Amino acid sequence: MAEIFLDRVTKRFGRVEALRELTLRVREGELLVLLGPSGCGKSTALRIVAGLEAPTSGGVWIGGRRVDGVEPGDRDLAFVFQTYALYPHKTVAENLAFPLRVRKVSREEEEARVREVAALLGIGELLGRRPRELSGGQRQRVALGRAIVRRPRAFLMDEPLSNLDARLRVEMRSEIRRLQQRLGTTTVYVTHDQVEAMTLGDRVAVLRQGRLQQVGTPRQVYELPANRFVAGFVGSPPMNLLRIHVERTGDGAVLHVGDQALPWPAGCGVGPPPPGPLELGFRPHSARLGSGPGLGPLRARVEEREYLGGAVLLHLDAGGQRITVERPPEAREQPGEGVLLYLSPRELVGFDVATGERVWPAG
Amino acid sequence: MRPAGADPHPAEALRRAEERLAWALLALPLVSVVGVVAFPLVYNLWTSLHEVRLGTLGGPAPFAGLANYVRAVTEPELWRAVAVTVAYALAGVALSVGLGLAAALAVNRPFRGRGVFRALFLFPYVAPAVSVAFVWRWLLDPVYGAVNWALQRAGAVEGPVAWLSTEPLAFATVVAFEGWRYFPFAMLFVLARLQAVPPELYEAARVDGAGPWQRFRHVTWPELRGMLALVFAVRFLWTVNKFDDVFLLTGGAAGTRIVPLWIYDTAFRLHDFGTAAAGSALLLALLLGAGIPLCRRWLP
Ligand SMILES: Nc1ncnc2c1ncn2[C@@H]1O[C@H](COP(=O)(O)OP(=O)(O)OP(=O)(O)O)[C@@H](O)[C@H]1O
Ligand SMILES: [Mg+2]
Repeated sequence: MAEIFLDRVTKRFGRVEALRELTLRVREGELLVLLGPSGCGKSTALRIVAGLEAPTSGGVWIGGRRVDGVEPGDRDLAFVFQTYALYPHKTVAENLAFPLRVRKVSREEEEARVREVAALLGIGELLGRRPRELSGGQRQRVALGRAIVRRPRAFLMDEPLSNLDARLRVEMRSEIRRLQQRLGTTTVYVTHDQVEAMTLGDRVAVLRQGRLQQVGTPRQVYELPANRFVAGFVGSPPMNLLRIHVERTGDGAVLHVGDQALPWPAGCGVGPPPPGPLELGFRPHSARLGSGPGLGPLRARVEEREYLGGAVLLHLDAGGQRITVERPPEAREQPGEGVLLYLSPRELVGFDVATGERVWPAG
Repeated sequence: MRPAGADPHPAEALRRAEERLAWALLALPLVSVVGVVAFPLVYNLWTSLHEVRLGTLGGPAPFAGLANYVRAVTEPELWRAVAVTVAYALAGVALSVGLGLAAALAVNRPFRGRGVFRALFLFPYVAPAVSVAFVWRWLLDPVYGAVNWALQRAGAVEGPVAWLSTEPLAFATVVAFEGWRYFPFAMLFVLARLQAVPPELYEAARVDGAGPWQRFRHVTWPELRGMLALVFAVRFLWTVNKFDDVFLLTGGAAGTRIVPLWIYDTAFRLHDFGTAAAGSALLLALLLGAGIPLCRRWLP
């Protein structure tokens, strides 16, 4: 168990800048998810922590000690690969025992630990098989077991579930969560799947083009995205973004959306956004249709209706701007109909039109 | 399109057309196989069953039954040649596979000038046998050879060494030549196999704490084992058959007379074509006996 600290880590591959000044603290015992689109540098960051790649500049600390130049094997970390990377010529038992064998752990202890881990993961029956005789889910369990058996200071996992089918992925997701909480081992988990990130992480770090966008609990990242990118990347369907203009009027404010003027509801407990142009963000499920309370009414027309089983998505045109709202499955609005929207002031965020950074609410 | 019903069996006609095409395509390989393999084989078998000497060469020869075979197998020189052949093939192939493995490992990782090394390493294999054999003979020559000169200069030997004409040096030299000349073959195969090893396996091993030797033992070696065995088997069969290398280096002198050279000497020095042909047939039987199980093992 150890804290992991990346200090202004930059990594260049020739002309490609995979990471830029990444500063990140993974707290002792937490599960931190590195989330971002393909090619944003997640794997690179993880590989730098593991020592499989050296940073171009910046430093890495593990358990308070700087590890630059320390061999991966001497960092006392375990890495779980997307492709599992099981030794194909070794049996499951030999795969599990390998990190112990290399470290010259006594045979009795090796055997005890392999048995313990096999029981923990429910792979006791498979110990005599070779990797190619296992299903994807079983291989994944063995790969996890090989990481756990050594009792390392931290787990590093690079998209460990992305080769599994959807059902198994959900199953293994909760299993990883359960294991991590039980063992209390510091874990960095890389994924491009925001649902995985939200369900798994104590905290989520969002990366884009090698730059850290935001670190926070899943809730913070979801409710108060640091910028337009995070707002769009986290949550499905993504957060709606409306171009508005805010005008202060005496002690209140009016929000102009196209040719519509929405008065800021007095006494809603939230102050109005700052005056001037703004990109107003709200989640598809936070809009009410028909009647208040809230910010409204915003007139819109239903363009398209998508039935999802548990919900219905309505794609709307609000004065030329596309937005999406989520409705219960019994909702009856049909394409072509006009609707009135009311937005909950507490669930609104405002982004700077030019930079895309969140400017409201602060904090 | 022909009107329907014009040909009662269009599928049959198509099948026959395809059959004709197949024969046409097979004609050339068939002719060359018959001319280059089957005819010499049959002629050799015929020769091995007749009393073919210089006088009867090319004409009718008296039927000899198995006399040639009896003569061949009771000839101690042939058995000596068999022993030399097996030792030469085993040692030479082991050396070439070992060198090939080392070379492949050396040029597998990227470094400056790797391309030059890879090309250089191919040279012994692609150069003509006659030229490289004569270069070796010249280098090893007791009187004019650069090797003897250098060794004497360095004080490593007292006087010139006859590398190719004293026992057991000559045998060691032809083995070294085989190792040197054919290591690129093993290198190419091993290199291709190495490139196919998933890099994550090495990374997993590094994170697990394995050093370079353990990574070789637990990742590289198990991945290469099958390929090395295959290369070894194929090279062994080819080396048992090989004639030119040893012929050009020693001509079979000083304990290097391998079976193909014994056959050559029996046929073209003693002019006993019948016995030589019987020896050839025995060698063929030996190779088939070793080769068929090997092919069964590796070819699906
Ligand atoms: N060994 C390398 N050589 C050159 N460029 C590299 C190398 N490794 C990564 N890159 C580049 O660095 C950038 C970040 O790569 P990285 O593998 O970290 O992305 P990622 O976020 O893990 O993406 P994915 O979700 O697709 O795995 C990419 O542009 C990639 O092309
Ligand atoms: Mg990746």
